[in-house]
Amino acid sequence: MTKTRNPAAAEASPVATSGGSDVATEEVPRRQAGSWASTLGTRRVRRWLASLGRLVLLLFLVTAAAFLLLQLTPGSPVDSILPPDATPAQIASAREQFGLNDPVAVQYVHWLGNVVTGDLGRSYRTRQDVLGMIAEAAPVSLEIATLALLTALLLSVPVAVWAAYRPGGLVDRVSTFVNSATLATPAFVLGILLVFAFGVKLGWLPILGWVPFTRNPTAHVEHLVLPVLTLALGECALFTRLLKGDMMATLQQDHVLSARARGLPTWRILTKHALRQSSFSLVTVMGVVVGRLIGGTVLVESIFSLPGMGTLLIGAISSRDYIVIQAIVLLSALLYLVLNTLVDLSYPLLDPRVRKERTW
Amino acid sequence: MMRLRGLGAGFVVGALVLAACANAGSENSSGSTSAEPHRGGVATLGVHYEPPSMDPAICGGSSGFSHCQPVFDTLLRYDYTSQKFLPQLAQSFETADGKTWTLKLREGVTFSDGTPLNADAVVFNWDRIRDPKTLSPALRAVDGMSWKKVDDLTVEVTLEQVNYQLPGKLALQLGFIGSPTAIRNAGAQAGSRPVGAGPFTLTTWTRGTEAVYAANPHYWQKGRPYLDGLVVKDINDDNQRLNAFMAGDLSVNVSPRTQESRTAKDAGYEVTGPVPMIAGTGLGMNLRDPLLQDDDLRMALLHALDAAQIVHAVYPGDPAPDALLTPDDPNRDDKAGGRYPTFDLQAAQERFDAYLKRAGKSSETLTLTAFTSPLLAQAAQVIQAQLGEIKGLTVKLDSVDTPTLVSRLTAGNFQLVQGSSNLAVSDGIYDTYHTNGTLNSYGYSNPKVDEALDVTRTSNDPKVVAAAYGRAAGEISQDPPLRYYRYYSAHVWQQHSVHDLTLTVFGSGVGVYWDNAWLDK
Repeated sequence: MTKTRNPAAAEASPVATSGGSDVATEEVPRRQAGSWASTLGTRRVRRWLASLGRLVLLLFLVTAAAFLLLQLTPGSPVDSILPPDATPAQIASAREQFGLNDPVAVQYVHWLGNVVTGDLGRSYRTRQDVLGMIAEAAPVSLEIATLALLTALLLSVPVAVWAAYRPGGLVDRVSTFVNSATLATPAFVLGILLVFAFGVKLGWLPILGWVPFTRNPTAHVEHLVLPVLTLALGECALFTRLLKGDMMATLQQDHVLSARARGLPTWRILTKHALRQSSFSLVTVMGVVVGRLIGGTVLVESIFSLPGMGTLLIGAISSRDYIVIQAIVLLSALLYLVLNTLVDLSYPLLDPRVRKERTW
Repeated sequence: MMRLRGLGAGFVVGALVLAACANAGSENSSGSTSAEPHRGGVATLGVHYEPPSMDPAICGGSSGFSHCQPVFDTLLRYDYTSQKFLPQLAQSFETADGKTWTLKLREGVTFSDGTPLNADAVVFNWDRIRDPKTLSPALRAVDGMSWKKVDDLTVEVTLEQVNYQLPGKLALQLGFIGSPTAIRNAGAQAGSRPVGAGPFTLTTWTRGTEAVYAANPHYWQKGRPYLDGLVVKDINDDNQRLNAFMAGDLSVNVSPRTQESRTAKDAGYEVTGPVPMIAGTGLGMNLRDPLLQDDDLRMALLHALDAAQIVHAVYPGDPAPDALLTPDDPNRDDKAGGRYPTFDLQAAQERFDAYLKRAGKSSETLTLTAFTSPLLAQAAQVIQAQLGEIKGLTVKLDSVDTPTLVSRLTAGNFQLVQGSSNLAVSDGIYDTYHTNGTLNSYGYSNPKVDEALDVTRTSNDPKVVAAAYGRAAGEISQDPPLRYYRYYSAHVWQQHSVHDLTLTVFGSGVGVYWDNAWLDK
């Protein structure tokens, strides 16, 4: 029996055909439809609450684990921030100011309590407000990671689609070679090669630094090109391979052959009938790649002297600035979890069959 | 004004001579030139360090000079060409007995917020340094010091003990004076909103990337600075700094690498250096460890260390250190002797065998705590291999990151360590090697060295002081707690369009005074 969207309607049908009273016939479908909507709504709300609960639990576990691991790390923020000849009074004052005299559990609870009120504390090293530091640094990293992802998609999707459509053709062969070379090259090597070629030798692009968009939009874009390319090219190779493989399988399926037989234009077949359904793996990997891009910005920011989260994190680790590290871990975990939740939610949009299955 | 030749060893300023500068308001002599300075332009300096804060109480730490000096200037500065401490914001800093000093400030100097730089401001800033809550790295500099305001432009400083080396502190740790009004108003943000009386004001500071400055129209030297602005770029990666300089993104670069500097010089750029410093990286020994208190064991290690091989492998082009002071240091006294023990494997084995025999052992194991950064890790591996040439000796390598190594060094929790010292002021030798030195991490104690270093503080005769430094350095070199395998050197690269830089030395390298610098049109 074919599954329908509305089991309640199916249950209502036998009542209607059995010759029950008109009142009962008219009332039961409305009551059952209302129950269905109510049940669906309650179920959805429960699902969302469950997701939210899992998110909070995961954040708690991640931050608690990070906190504990930091405490176990050798070295102390006091030693990193004060000179070797610091006086006992300075050391005592530093420990007092940083809250290091409290037991670890008390420190964590205190920090958690502040986080709930939106206070991420002050950096041990710079005494800046941590939220403010992150607010300055995060947009830089997010911009680079987002643009890298978009660039990788813009480059990889057309190439993968055409290579799948024409396997063994020129585009396929060239892209396979380039992808292999790119995948074999570490990101930092790629970055240095791009710097040397486009910055030093050709002088086309600046090789490091950051110009805010509001100060000079053109310079802002120029400073983004090399860092974004460094990150994007590696992911581009991965996306191309993945999508090409899925596309080639999808193009062999009956519905695509049927579309061809009906004489639909090639571009329509490739984009509407094949690409969407081939995108599951790509979308799933994107969720993972986002995390990698966020981590990859650490390397790129170091090479190109960019004031992003990576630079902030490296500086914090080097000086055992626990409070900054904790905040970055919290926000990175939150971002990662939210993005992967969005990835999950995108599946029904790509394939209605997933949506129908979920209503049960 | 004190001619302190002996201080050239520790606090060296190299005046970079490309063009003469007409210094109407200053006694600073920075070389000869045939060109008139041009006004305008923005210079860009590349550095590999950044201070945590531009709070003047924090600026006196090892990494603050390049970022802080443009905003605050300094009370005094040392000019290498004349080998004098020159007045800067302070008009004079004089003493008759080495214990009581009189600081006279210039009249009419204001901070960029319009408030006066006077005795109250100096007292306010120094009081903040002394407050443990400020966590100032300069706190030790005020040990045994007290001060009071005498009049609006005069501060009297009294020391518990005679110290003729005190002016060095007014050129660095205690030299940055911030506006008290601005500091009070900024509160916790004082480190991000510095207000000083220097040639520039801070416009923006993107931490980890760059600090942008604009010329201070109220600078006390009328007509200065010649530059419209300055950008100090923090570029950690040495290759990227080289690339940025070659691509024209930097006007001036400070580099600790000899090989890179040769590349820049070969490419036709102006390169000054190495600027002499008392600084280096080496093998440190914890003399509080019972094993390393044995003379034979220590000498065995020192004879087994081949600095020439290390620099050849890791720092090609650098000279191999043979003593605490570099050969061109004016205080080095080669006639008096005093060099590091020479590389001699046979002597090393003999001393080690003597140690084993006396200790009743057949072998010994030591642990070398080392850095993880690429070059330092490579050097540590070479050291381990060299010491392993001694039969019966095993050296374990414990590579840790910088914060961990610093913690262990501070706590004395090490045997052998890959240590370093950058002595920005000559008094640094006292702090590091005197028995009572505040930076004596190795537990070093030598009565002859103590006696010589005491003379450097108690004598105001430059020749006596220089001789005392020479004796102390020679004695230290014969049995050093930290045996350099590489002298830390700094090179300054500049584009041909940059003129009249005045250089100085601080804890992390070479600094630039910008008030006389100018760019070609």
